[in-house]
Amino acid sequence: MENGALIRLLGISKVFLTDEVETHALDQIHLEIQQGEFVSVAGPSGCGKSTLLSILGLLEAPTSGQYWLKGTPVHTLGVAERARIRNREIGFIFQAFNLIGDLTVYENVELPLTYRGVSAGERKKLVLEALERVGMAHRLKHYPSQLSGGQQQRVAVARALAGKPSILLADEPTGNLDSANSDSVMDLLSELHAGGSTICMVTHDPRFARRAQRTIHLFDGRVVPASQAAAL
Amino acid sequence: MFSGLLQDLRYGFRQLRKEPLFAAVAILLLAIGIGANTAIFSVIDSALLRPLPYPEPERLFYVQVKNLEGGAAVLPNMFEYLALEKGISSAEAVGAILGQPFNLKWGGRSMLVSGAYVSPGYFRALGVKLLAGREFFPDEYVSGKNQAVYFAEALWRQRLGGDLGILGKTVEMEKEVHVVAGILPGLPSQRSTATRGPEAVVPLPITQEMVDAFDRRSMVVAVRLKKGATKEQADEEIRALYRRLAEQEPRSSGNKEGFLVSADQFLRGSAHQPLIVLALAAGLALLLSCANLAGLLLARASSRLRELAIRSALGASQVRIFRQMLTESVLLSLLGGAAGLGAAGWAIDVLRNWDRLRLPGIRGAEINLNVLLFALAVSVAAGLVFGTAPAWSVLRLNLATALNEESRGASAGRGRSLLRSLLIGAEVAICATLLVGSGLLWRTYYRLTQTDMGFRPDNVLLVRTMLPEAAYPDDAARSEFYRTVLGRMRDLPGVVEASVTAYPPLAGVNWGCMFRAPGHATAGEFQQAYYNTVSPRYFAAIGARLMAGRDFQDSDTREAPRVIIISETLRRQFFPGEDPIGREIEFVLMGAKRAATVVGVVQDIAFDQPDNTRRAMIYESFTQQPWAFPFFALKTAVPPMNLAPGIAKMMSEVAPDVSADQVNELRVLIERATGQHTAALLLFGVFAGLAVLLSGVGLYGVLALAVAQQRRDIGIRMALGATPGMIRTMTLRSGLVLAGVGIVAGLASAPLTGQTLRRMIYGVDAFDPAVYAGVAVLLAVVSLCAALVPALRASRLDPAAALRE
Repeated sequence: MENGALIRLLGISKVFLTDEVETHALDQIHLEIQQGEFVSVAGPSGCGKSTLLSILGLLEAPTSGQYWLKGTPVHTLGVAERARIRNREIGFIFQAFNLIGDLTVYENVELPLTYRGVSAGERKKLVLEALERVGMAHRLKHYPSQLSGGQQQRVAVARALAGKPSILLADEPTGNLDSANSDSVMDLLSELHAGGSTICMVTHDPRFARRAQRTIHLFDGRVVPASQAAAL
Repeated sequence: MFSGLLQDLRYGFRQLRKEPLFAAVAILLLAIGIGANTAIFSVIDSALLRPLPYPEPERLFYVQVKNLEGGAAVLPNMFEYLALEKGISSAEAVGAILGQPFNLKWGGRSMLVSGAYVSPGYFRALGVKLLAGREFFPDEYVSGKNQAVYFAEALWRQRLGGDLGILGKTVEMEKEVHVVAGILPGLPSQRSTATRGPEAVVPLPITQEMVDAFDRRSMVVAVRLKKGATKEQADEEIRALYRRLAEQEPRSSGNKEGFLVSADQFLRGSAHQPLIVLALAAGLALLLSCANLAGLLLARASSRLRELAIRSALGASQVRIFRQMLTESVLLSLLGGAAGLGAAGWAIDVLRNWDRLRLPGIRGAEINLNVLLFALAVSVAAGLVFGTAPAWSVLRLNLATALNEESRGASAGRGRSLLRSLLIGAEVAICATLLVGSGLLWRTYYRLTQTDMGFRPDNVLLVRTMLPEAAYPDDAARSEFYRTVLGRMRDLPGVVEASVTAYPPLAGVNWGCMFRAPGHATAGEFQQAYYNTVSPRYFAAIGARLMAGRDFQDSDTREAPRVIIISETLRRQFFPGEDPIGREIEFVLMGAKRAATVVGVVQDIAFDQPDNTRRAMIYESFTQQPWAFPFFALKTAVPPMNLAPGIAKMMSEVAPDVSADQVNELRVLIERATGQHTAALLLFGVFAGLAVLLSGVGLYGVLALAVAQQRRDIGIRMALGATPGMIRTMTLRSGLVLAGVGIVAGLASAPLTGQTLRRMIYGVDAFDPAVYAGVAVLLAVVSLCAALVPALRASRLDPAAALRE
């Protein structure tokens, strides 16, 4: 199965059961993402973008299919092992920032490192380094509610970066931001990619999708060619 | 303002209807807290707050006598009473009462009634008037002519038919004819309102024999001061009088000094002690209910933020919103109070009908106006207490922040959760305090019941009798009666041993005598000891061990040399390292001096409390000194009460004029001796149990709410790599930290509980490490259990779903 791809999905499907109704959120997805690649996932609302990202981020298990991450099958892992891999290999950036209100900027960024058992000294180094990269090192002791939306998202990016993950998964990272802040966050992602980061970003904004090297189009839970997506 | 209040009330009702589960839980919590407090208050009202049933009770006092060399206060003797009666110029009236049970024949059978002799001034001093009838005539206070009787209203109504036609008729009492002269209102008994007062009262005849019985200190002397006279004046007069008496008759009053105590203190004694303790426990339980409710209301305030923000945006001032929330709280507490009142009525019934519960004032406890006003006041106060914190949190409401917290991508603010945490900490602290109190009481109770009382109460039946003096005028007649009855008792199937004693263990009788041992180091001085008279095989019947010598024998007749058995304490104190067997002892009992030879030493026997055994005792043989109203003590091979009908039948055949209607197991005396303690322990335990339940539920509620409100945060943490185990640990830790702070605070303040309970805990250190450790472990386990469900729920959260919310 080893072929050098960072991520490999084989026939991934996801079915939700609600009120005895089966909803096929994803249907036979085949996908590969190479190390250092910047991929965007585009498609209309409800096409399965966020579900795909949740599966890539090991937040959800697929109903069927195989998921290989860095050459390791992860679709068969238990909850605790998935959490461990998520902590080490994956960095999340959410549309709603999802910072924890009770924690300071520093503590928010530090959080994934504490779950990994990194020593306090090492944590401090990594947190400061990540906050420096996103230009938020001067707001260490602030709480999320004291920051603007753009600043909160920068902190969220720093949190995703701090653990030096294999891939950054960004779910509509500009969805809650004005255009100036959106551009700023996209510039930051481009910089990270230029620095070697692998990024998979869900967006429905074509302007930002174009910043990626490659765009995967989803429609009704299936990957469709770009030409067909345009027609749809 | 008024219409605004009505509007607030209407809105409050609507809110409660909208959330019936919340309303039901809140009303239940309040009903428990307010109900417990109201029930305890009704008992306090009955025992302590109701004025004594005498006019101007502040002018009524009783005389007590202290030994200037120390020791507990005692009552005056007859010699002193006669001096007091005429010697207090600041008194309007002085009178005495002397307790004495009577055999009353009614409807063809004998019954034993609690009775008393009274002096002419007694009812004048009390200010009590007869309900019906006439005063005793002066010549009825003469020995041999005191054949008139007053019956108490309760006895007259409940057992004598309640017919006023009884007045002027004659009844047979003590085998003598007495004229029924009047009906008395109910009188409280001395020192405890939990037991009945005298049921039959006859005039007190004064004989020289009674005056000379200096060691018979059982005169209850009531003094009504003149208007304007002070206690200090009367005390000064009494001190001067005792100085004169000491010179005149040092054997009676040497080194003694009389003083007055208020009627309230004398009649109610230490009744307040367990009640204050229980009131404290009930108050803490109510505080717990309030803290729980405040937590619930805080959670509700969080979910109502949007509604309140809109009200604020529409122009409602913060004060108006504060008032609205407080009105809702008070409304809720009034509903809880109404339910609590019902619960209190039920609890009072249960407590009143609980035979083994000896709580002062419980018999008179009822829901009256005082109790209603108390319940109302407590309800309003509780509403203000538990409503203030949530209302205050809303008063600090910032519209922009409230809306921000709803819409921003960061989780909720810290203020309200901090307040909830503080409430839980306080709940656990209160709970720890109550548990420490309960633990100390339990340890005391355990110690009391496990202690060696010097006898074995299993299968021992006590039958109290009283021989009418007219039928059994002398020792010979009494001896014959006992010999016959004991013989018949031993023939009854199921009786292993039959004996007789003046009083059984734990009767609390302090029958003093003075003694000296010729040829002993202290030979010249009389020493204080206590006296009892028991038949042969009494010690075997109650399971007391003879340590040396022999038991009394049937051959120890009145004609044989006088013999005594002494207690182990007397032997230790006065014959250390010596063999007392065969030694002669002189002792003075009720003014009569006699000498006897020690033939045995018996182990110490508890006389008022199970752990109070060490007393210098002199036992005389019943065969040489029979007593007119003794207890038969029977060791049985069957459940003791099974024998009661057979004994009653046998007694009615042998001596129909002697009542044998007071039959009890010896075990019951232990229950009586520890009754107040048991009551405090049980009720304190109930409150402590409630406290554990409430704080457990409170902790569970706060954590469950925290988990529900922090689903998104937990989802984020899981997305960042937290394993289910980490989430579980985090939730458990936050619960245990909260509980831990409460436990430490509670244990730190628990010494105050120990201090409050100091008069109810015996032989147990107020800082008993086992109790403190036990409480800490129990609360830690309860907290762990309370936190486990929310922790499991948190760890099983679907992070993807939580993040989508």
